[in-house]
Amino acid sequence: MSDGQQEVRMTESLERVAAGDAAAFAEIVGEHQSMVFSIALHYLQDRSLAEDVAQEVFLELYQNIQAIESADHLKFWLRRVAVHRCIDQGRRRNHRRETALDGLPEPAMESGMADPALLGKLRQTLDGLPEKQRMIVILRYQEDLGPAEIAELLRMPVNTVKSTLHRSVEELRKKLTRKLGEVRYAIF
Amino acid sequence: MPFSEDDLRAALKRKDPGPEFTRKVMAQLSERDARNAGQQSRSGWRLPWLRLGPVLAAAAVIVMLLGGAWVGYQSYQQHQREAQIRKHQQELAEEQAREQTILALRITSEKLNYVLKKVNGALPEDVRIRRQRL
Repeated sequence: MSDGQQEVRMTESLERVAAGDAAAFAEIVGEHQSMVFSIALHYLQDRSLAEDVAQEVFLELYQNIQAIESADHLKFWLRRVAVHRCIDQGRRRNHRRETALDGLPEPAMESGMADPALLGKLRQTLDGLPEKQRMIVILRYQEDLGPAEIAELLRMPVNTVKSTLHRSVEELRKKLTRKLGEVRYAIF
Repeated sequence: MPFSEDDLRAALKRKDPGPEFTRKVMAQLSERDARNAGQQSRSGWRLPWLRLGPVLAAAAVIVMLLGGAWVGYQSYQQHQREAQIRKHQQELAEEQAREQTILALRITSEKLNYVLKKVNGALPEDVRIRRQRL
């Protein structure tokens, strides 16, 4: 389905929800659940917590559905609320790390060419970044958003987003190298 | 170890929470709607009381204020009446004292006149004439 068709369908669903059609809301959830859930999963690294946060986001959407003006606005709203709920949840969790990544499906099966070990390490290393940096990387590489869109979502200056993104990738690179060096040292 | 932006995209590829997710969200929504409906019906039953509460409180305050004002006014009037009675009694006492004083002075004057006449009757003729000239 093209982006234009999807947008028209979402706009129709929004109108139906506003008229009290619950099935239309289920369509909206089905359409956007992977986006919201993945932001939460990649940020929190905990499947069960990510599901809770994603559910919370959709329940909040239902309450505020009258304020949603268009399909684009819906996407922006969902991303922004997901980002804030994840940051709140991350702070509540207070760095209590639960390595629930083991329960996740291996990304290599999805990506085909990529090395599954590398992808797993990348996600683990991402978990060690500070909250804003982590969220910026997720929004850039999961959601494919540009610095201006990320800046709008996080209410930050665009230049700060750019510099933070650059710094985060560098930090990921260093941490990953260090981590793999330790593994090699342990093997030999 | 070097990695590319594509590796990051692959690591952060969107994942679907599964078909159960939508069902769970919808179930939570219906549960919450039912709970809200229950709360609304209960609060709807209580609503007239909730609205009546402030009115009753205001009415009670007004009654208390009016009662207080009435008691205060009565007490003021009583005080005024007592003051008037006291003033009247004082005026009567003053009047009596004045009358008694005037009576006493009148008696004294008559007594003195009487004594003076007696004294004048006892004096020799030439002295009486001299006194009359003086």
